Amino acid sequence: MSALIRVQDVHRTYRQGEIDVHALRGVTVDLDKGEFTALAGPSGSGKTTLLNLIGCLDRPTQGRVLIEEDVISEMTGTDAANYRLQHIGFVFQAYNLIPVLTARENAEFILQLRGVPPEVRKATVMPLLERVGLLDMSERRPHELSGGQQQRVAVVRALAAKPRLVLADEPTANLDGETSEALLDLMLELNKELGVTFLFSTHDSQVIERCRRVIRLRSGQLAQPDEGDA
Amino acid sequence: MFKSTVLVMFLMAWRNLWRNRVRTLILISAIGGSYGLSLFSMGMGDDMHGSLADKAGEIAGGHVLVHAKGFHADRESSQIIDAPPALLQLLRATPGVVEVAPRVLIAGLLTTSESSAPIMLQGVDTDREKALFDPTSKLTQGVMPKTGDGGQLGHPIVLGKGVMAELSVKLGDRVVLTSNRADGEVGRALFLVTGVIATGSRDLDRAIAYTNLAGARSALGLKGSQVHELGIVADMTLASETIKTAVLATLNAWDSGPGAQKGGKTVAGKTVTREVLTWQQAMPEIVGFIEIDDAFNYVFLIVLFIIVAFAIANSFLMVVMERVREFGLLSALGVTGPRIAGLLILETAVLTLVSLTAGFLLGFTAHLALQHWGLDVAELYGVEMGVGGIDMGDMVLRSELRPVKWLTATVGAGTLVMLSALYPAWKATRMAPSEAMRFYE
Repeated sequence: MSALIRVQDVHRTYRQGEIDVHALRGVTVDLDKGEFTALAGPSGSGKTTLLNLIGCLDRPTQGRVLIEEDVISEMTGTDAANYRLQHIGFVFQAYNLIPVLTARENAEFILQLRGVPPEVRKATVMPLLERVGLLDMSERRPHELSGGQQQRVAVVRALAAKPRLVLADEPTANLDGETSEALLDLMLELNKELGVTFLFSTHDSQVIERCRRVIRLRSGQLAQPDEGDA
Repeated sequence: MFKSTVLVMFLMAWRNLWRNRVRTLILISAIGGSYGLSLFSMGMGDDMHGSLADKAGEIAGGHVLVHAKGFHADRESSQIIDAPPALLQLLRATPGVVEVAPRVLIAGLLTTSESSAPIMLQGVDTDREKALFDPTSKLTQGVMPKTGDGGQLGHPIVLGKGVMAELSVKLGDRVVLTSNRADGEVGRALFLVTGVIATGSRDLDRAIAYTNLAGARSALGLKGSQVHELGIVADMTLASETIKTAVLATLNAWDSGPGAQKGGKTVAGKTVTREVLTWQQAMPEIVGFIEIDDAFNYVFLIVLFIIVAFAIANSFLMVVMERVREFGLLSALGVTGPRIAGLLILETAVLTLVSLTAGFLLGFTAHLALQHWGLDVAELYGVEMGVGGIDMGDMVLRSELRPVKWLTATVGAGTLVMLSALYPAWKATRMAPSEAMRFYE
C-alpha cells in the first residue's frame, strides 16, 4: 500500500512571550490510504499540532508534510484553503457546524463551495443523513440538535465531499459513552465502505481501542512502543 | 462555483444579520434614523432656501433687474432708463421671461400738516406687478392706484399700515411728498391716500408706499416712458443667469436694430449704459446665507454619519470577536480569507440596504407629510422671523425633493457605513484557522 501522508522530520515551535515552546520535535511518520488511525498522547504532547499540520491549517517550522505528491507544508493562504476545500474533511471536538445553516445546509456546505449543483448536493447528502439517522432533522439548526447529532452532521459534511482524508480532533471528547460508540461505529463503517482515510487525535481509550493503528506522541516526539500515555 | 459560493454567502449574511435581533434593530435604527433625518432636514432646508430665493426675488423686485448703470448702488433719481412699450413687448417675448414690470422708485419724505415719515414710494403698473407680488392681496382698505388715476386732488397713493399710523392719516386725506427730482432740484408733489396695505412685516409697513407710474413720474419730473427699473419675472425652472443672458441679448438687439429709433437707448440726448442684475447679484447676502446654511448642514450631516460609522465599526469588531471560532471553522473548511471578509462586507451591505430602505421610507414619509401639511413658522414660534433681512413671518415651511442631493446623501451614507466594516473585515482575515479554532480553549 502506498503512503497517502508523509510527515518528514517535522518541527513546530511557537513563541509564547519570551519563551519558545517546541510543540513538535522531529516527527517522521507515514499514513497509508484507507487507514483508520489514532494519534494518541497526553495533553500537550503535540497531537492537535500534528493534526493541524497534516490538515494544512498550520505550517511547520522545519520539515515537510506531503499528501501524495503535494507538499502541503509549503502552501499558504488561499492555496491552503483551496487544498482543504478539495481534499480534506474535518470533524472538530466542538463548534463543528455553522450556526445559521440547517443540518442539511451544513452537510452540503463544502459541495456548495465547490459549485456542485443543488440536485446533486441533495442526492449526495440525504442518503448520508439517513444513514446517520438524521433525515427527519435535516432542516434543524445546530442549536436544535444534541452534541452527538451535531458531530454526526459534521461527519456527513466531511464524507459528502469525498475527501482524500478525514481529520478528527478529539471528536468524542464532549460526547457520552453511548453516543461516542455510535459515532465511532459510523466512521468505521464509512471507512470500510468508502475507503476514506481517517486520522484522529484523541486520548479517549474507547477510540484508541477501535483504531487499527495508533501513533503515540510524547512531548512532541513519537513515543517508543513501550512508553505509555501517563 | 462563484455563483454557488455567493448564494450560500448571501444566505449566511442574511441569517447572521438576524442572529442578534436587538443589536441589528439598534443598528438599523441608528443608520436608518440618521439617514431619514438627513433626508428630512435636506428637504426642509432646500424648501427654505427655495422660499428664500422666491422671497429674495420678490424683495429685489424681480428675478432679473434692469437699471441705469450705478442705480442699484446709488439710487439717484437721475439714474433713469427709457422703456418704451415696444421694448417692453420685446422683453416679454424673450424666452424664459414671464413678465416685465416697469417701476419708478422714489426715496422721499411724506408729510401732512402735523407730521412726516420717510418712505420708499414705488410707482408701479399694478397689473404687471401681480406676476411677482400682488400688492392688492395685502390691501386692508381702499384700492390700488390704476393707470390713469390722478387729477387735481393729487395722484393716488397707497400707504403701509405703519406709515398711516405715523402720519395719523385716513383714506381720502392728502399728503405731500418731498424728494429729489431727476433734474437735481427738490420737488414736492401732492398725493391722495386711496388705500392701506399690510404686508405682515412691521418694518416694511413703516416705509412702503405705492402709486401709479404717472404719479411717480410726475413727482420726479420724468417724461414719457422713463423709469428707474425693469423688474423681470422669470420662469424659475431656468437659472437666473440664463434669463439674464437672454435679456442682455434682447437689449443689445434692440439697441443695434431699428428699435433703437423708437427710444430706449438714450435719455435726454445721452446714451444710457444699462446694468442687468440677477436677484443673486442684487441680494448677495441671501446667496451667502444659503451657501453658509448649506455648508453647515453638510458638515452637520457628515459629523452625524461619522459618529454612526464609528458605532457600526465598534459593533462589527464585537461581531468579529464573538465569531472567531466560526471564522476559524469556515477557514478550516476551505473558505479563503478574502471570502470571509466578503461575508462580513456582504452582511454590512445587507444591513446598509435594509437600513437605508427603512430610512428612505421614514424620510420620504416625513417629506410627503411636510409637503402636504407644511409647518407654519409664525404659528410655531409666535414671533416675526427674518433671515438675511427678508421677512419670513408668513412663511410655511414645506419639503422639497431634489433627487440629485438625495442620491448623493444616499450614496454618501451607504459608502460611509460600508467603509466602517472594512477594518473589522480585514481583522477577520488575519486570523490563522488553527488559532481561531482554539480561541476559547
